[in-house]
Amino acid sequence: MSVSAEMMKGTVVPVTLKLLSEREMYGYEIIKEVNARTNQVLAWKEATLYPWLHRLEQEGLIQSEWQERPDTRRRKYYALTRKGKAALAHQTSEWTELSGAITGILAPMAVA
Amino acid sequence: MDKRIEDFLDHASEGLRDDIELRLDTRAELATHAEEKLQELEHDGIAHDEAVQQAVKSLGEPIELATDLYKANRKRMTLRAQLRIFMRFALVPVAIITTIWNLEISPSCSLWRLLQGGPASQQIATMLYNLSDQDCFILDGDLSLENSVDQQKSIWESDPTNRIYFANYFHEVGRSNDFYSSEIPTDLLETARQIDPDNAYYVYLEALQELTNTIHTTWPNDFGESITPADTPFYEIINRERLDHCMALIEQALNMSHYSCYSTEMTRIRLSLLPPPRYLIDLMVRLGVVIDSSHSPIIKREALQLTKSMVAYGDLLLKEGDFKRAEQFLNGWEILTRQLSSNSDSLVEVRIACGLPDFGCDSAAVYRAADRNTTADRMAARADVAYIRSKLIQKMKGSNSDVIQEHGGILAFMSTPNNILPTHAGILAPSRRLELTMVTRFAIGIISALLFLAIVGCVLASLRWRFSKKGRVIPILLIPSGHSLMNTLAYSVILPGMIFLIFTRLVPASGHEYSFSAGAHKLIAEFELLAIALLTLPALLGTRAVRRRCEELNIPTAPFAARRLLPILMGESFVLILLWLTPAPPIHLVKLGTFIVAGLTGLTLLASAITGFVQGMGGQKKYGLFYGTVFRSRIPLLAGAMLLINLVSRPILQNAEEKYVRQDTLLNLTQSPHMSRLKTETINYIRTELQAALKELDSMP
Repeated sequence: MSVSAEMMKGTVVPVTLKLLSEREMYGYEIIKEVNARTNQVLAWKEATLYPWLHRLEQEGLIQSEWQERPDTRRRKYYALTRKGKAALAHQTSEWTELSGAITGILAPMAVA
Repeated sequence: MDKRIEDFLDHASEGLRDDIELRLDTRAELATHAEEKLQELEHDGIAHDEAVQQAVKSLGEPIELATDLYKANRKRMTLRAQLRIFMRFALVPVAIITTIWNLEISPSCSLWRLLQGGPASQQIATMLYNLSDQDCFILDGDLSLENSVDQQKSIWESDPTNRIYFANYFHEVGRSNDFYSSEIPTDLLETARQIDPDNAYYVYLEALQELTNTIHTTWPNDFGESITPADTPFYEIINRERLDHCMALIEQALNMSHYSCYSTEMTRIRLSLLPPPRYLIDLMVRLGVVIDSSHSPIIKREALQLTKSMVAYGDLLLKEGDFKRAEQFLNGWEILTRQLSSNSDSLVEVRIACGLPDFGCDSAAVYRAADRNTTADRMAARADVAYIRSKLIQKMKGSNSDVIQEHGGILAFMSTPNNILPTHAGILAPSRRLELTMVTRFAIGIISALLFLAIVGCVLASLRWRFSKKGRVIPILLIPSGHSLMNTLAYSVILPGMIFLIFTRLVPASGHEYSFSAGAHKLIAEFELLAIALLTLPALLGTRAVRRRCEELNIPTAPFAARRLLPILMGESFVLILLWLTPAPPIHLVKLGTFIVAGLTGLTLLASAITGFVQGMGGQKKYGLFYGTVFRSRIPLLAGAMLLINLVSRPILQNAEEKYVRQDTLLNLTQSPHMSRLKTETINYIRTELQAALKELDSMP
């Protein structure tokens, strides 16, 4: 089932921050990881991740560095900053509260 | 890369066209994404053409992406544009202004003029300090008048009864006319008698004038070599009448209680007008005031002449039967000794006073020749007690030449005569360190000038690529990350500066502990190594950072030929360190070796600069963007290094300068109006010893 673009937009920041909290990744790696973990439910347009990454970097939530690792080409890796960790914690609790609230409304009512 | 991917990347990064570096960075990032996607698709068995199409399609609409990238980076691009404007137009001028500010042009020029023997210190004092008109007048006199004599005369004329001002004018006349080879103007002597009738100094001077061509004495010319009765006659009368007149003057002077040339008093008056010293220039101005205000005392030749002629005249009077007057002249050495020891504030005069009792032995010989042996014995005994010159010579002779040679700076050499109280390295340390602080400031000025030349070279090299007729490129002005910039400046400026400071201030074996002659090899090594660090590290580290960035942006890079000189430079630095480790004072070979290695190092630095410049100007076209970017991006880095060096060094060096001026025990002339404190202590010591010896005479028959 594909998710609408409107709902997709809201997922980019918390999901990206969460993935980068696990380890540093490059852009295409983030896309592949999201696809794999959500079973293609969150099918982001590949290149549109980059404007978000630039935004997050400007806000100081992530930082980037070009690295050349053994047997791979040079890539731009992103890592979470301390400010990003705090933002992730805040966003995680926001999502938990919101999803709980929405689920409470959208779930079928119990039969009396 | 496939043209379709290239086209996609061009369109997708169009929104960032105003920031070339950001555009290339984003382009490179999207390119790695596209290449990896392409590789995966081809790995899954899809044909190359189809894989390219799919890869491009998966990236989305380029125009939409361009808009999103522009929106996402708008703020950053604005900030970066402002930063580039600052780096282009403000940083270099600010760095130049800071360098000039650090050089302190006005005090430095004044200092240079003082050292060159330029305009009188007083005139420089009036330029540097905010003195009142009256104070300026006391320092300089009326500067609207043409010559120095009239200028000093104007000070006296403002207060005609002032003995100190008159003495100052009197001696300015003497300085310009050279009193000792020509006659003192009669009207001047008349005025001296009127203003200061009880001062023996003027009378002795008048007597010395009269003494010329009156008597010829065949006498040893130094203290310690006496006549014997067998030497008589030891004089020949040339003009008896004039001699009698001269001796009448001497008789007058011997009976005067007061003797002063007022040199100390005038110096004290002038020094009191100046603010307390804070910097070297203040010490030098004060030193200049002391030198300019110092007056010629009775010097050794004149004192010998006076005393010899007194003994000769005493002998003459004895032979003529005038015993009473003869006694006056034969005792003249003691009276003159007492006058100089109690009134004189001049090292020359108090030293002379130590030797004058030697003439007591000559007076004793005269008495013996006249068969007045009891008087002769008494005279000889008194002379023996009063003659302390040998004892003082023993204590002071040559005692300081070694320590000054090894640990003294220029000021110590200038202001510390050999035959004074012993000094030690600790006393000389503040003035020596003060001078080296100024040398450090000068060295920083030189290094800054060289950095500026490097900036000019970089500007020319980057413009060459900008306006090249064939293969024109627009060199990129890369904006370093904060982390990268801090790293570069820390390793290339702060760290070498800290090491230099620590080594030169805290390590006992550093060149700063020695005079230039004893520690030249260390001092040259220290400053040379500092220059190497500050001139090469910013360029090297900056180029390395630019090269890395260009590789990230997929700009073709090339090695610089100048790096081949790096091992030579490192080898020379190593040799300089070894030379630095050699103990001071070094053997001649070590000193020579240091100069040679320092010269070679300079040539190596020059060669590497020229090589880099030539390669940057005339390199292969395919590396044009790289060369242009390296040189363009080095400009703000070198300017930043220049700015940081001067901003950081100024307070440190200024603080050090103030500290050493406060600590200075050699020259701090607030209290003592002589060239050095050591000289004042020596004068006081000699006077104390002499007066103790003369006090013993009071209890003798």
